[in-house]
Order: sequence, then C-alpha cells, then structure tokens
Amino acid sequence: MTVSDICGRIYDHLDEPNPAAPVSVYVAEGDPTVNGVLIATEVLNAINEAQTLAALLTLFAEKTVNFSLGPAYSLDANGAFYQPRPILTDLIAPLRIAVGGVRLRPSTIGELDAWNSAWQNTPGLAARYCTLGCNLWAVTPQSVETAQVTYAYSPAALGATDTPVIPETYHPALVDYGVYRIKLKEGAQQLQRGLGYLNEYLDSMTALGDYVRARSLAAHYAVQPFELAKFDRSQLGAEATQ
Amino acid sequence: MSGEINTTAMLTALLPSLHADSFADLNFWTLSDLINHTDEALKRLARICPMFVVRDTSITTAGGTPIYSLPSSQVSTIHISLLTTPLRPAAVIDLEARDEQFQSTPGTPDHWYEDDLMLGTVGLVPVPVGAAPLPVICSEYPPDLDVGQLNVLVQAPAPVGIYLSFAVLGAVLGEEGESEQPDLAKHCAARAGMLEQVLQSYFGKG
Repeated sequence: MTVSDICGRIYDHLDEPNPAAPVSVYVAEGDPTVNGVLIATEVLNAINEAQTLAALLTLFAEKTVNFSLGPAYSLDANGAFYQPRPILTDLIAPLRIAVGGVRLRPSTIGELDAWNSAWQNTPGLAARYCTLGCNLWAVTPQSVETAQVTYAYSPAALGATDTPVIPETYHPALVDYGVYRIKLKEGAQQLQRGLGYLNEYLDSMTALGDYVRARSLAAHYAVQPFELAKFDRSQLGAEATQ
Repeated sequence: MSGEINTTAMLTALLPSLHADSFADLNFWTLSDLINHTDEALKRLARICPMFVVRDTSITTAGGTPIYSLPSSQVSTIHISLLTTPLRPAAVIDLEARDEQFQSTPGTPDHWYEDDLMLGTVGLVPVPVGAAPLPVICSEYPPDLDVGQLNVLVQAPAPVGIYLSFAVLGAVLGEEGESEQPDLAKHCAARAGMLEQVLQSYFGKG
C-alpha cells in the first residue's frame, strides 16, 4: 500500500464519505491530493509515527554501512571513542559491528577496563566495542580501518506518494494506528474506540517483534527487540478492549 | 539534519491533537508552555534512562588538588580515566580502610569516589601530584530547550520524538482547568511510560 491507500483506508474507518475532503481531521493549506485522497498532514504524521514507533518496538528496519575507524574520525587522539549519530543519522541501536568480516565482541566499559587497563591506547585490529547511551561508542584495540556496522534504523519520514518500508503484511497496522491517533484527540468515547485500534496495532507489532527477535537471536545480534508481549497494556487503559 | 530531533517540528505536529491550527490558536496553553513541558520530559528521560552520554575532556588535574567539579549537566558518572588509564570507582569506607589519610596522600590516582562529597564533584585517590587530562564519561541532561527557541534540537533517535509528544500531551491535558481531559492525560502519560520502558530496554536504566 502507498501512503494514499493507507490514508484512504483511515478515512473509511473514520466513516468519512469523501476522502478528498475529510471533516474529522485538520487540513493544512497545501495538503496534497493523491489519487483522489487528501493527504492531510495530521494523517501523514500519524502514519509516520506508526512506522517510526514500529521501528523502535521491533527493530525491523536494519541496514549495514561502512564506518571509518581511526584517529581522524574519533573523539580522542587514539581512535578509541566515536560519536556515531552525526554519521548514522537514523541510528536506533547497533546490532553487529565487524571489521574485515570478523565480528567485534560487544562489551561493557567495565569489561574493557578489566580486560586491558590500557584499552584506550592499544594499537591493533579492533576486537571489542561498547556502546554508551545513544551517541557514544568505544572501540579497542585501535587502528585505521573500515568497520561494517549493521544497525537498527528509524525510517525516513514518508511523503504523500511514498510506500512505507515496513513489510507489506504490516501495512494494515499503520491504518490501525492512524485511526487510533485521529480518534485520540477527541478523548472519552472516541478514545475508547481508538484503543481498540491501538490494540490491533500492538498485536501486529508483537508478531513482527517476535519474528525479528527470532532472526536476531539466530544472528547473535547485540540488541534484541523489546518484548512487547510482556508489556502490561492495561496501563494504557486498553484492558476493556483486549 | 544530523541525527537530531527538531522539537519545533514535533510540537507543530502536536497542534491537531490540541485542536489548534497554529501556536497562536492554542486556547489554553502557549508555545512556551509546550516547550517547557518538552524540556521537562527530556530531563525526566535523561534521569531514568542514560541515553545522553558524553565524554567530557574539560577537566585537568592539578598537583595537590583532590576534588574536581563535574560538568554542571551531569546526571551520573559512568567512567573516569587519567589520560587513558581507567580509574576504579570506590566507596569512602573502602578508601579509608586502605589508607586513613587517603584525602591527602599524594601519588598517581587509581581510584575515584563521589560519596562523602558535595553533589557534582568527584575525588581522586591518591591526590594528584601534577597536571593530567581527566576524561569523564557521564550521563548528562541534554542542553535546555529554551522558550526563546535558541536551542530546539535534541541529539537522539527519532522515536524519542514520539515519547516527547505523548509526555507533552499528558502534561498539558492533565493541567487543572477548562482544558483538563483526565482520561486522555492518563492515557498519554501511560504511552510515554511505555516508551520509557522500551528506551530503557535498549539504553539501560538510570
């Protein structure tokens, strides 16, 4: 489905008779119409939010890129510390880092200290790394080389004519989230109705997350998706609709 | 765009949820209210989840000086090195057991401690005898989001913007007054809470 297809289906669920002029969403000046469907910014934002949230919950979106190591790219003079976000702008979490096809071992900074008290200044082929927060990596030993970083990323914002990158099986989940997000602002009964759609979305994300987790475990990735099945949805006020 | 969230764009996208077309159309709140709630949510996130970790290299030891100020935005200290040699964290009770004069014994530091000191400071043991860089890795508050909008960017993964959106909605809709929508505020706060759990599962607990 394209964004206009998803918008059209959201309007269907909202009981909008004319998808070219919906009345239950805010329409901004300049919102385009594609294939007879108005792509209201509010709805487009909801679809983008659904896909971005899916990327966080399930880590479904991953890619592998080259990442330069060495003093020319690091925060320190030895090539031990890096800020990845300015380079990997869509980074959520690194899943696998390799140099020359050989995987670096994920470690904690305490493990690096215990392993070698001179780890911040030990020349050699990179063997271990650790991540600290969302924007600091440490690598040891240090040398000038190119690492292959496989990481979970947040998809770019969709435009009016784009197709979401989430697998097509889960495109209906974007419709569910979109309906929930539009109903959310009304509160009360509309919120209760919207929660049913949120539950559908979370069910889909649980299934996708389980699939990604199985793949990640098989690949021995460093980070696994959040275990959505263990999240207590009653906190969302969704117990009545589960 | 370099991996940053633009909070102005995030707040603009929230306007329909607040039944407004523009910030000028907000009936019960101002843009400043929304920015302040965003900043508070961001700082709450920094406290409960060490996402914003920095390596600060501004501190240099001085001979005979045992105590040093940490960066003002420090939330918690993760790691300290003397040049490139890691120092071990220690409790004062253990340092006392090793050397009762630990606060004045000179030497090359091999431990650091924070208890028994004013917040925002760190002590080195033995007391340094000369100048050396002291790189500190700590979890910090991100820079303030100010109402003057001099800083509107947050260096964080894009999904953190969703967390901020729900935290702001939960806060403004929970404010006592005509605009109050308790059911919606509770739900939005719970959505923010859910995202806190997810972020903690990836980046750890503060």
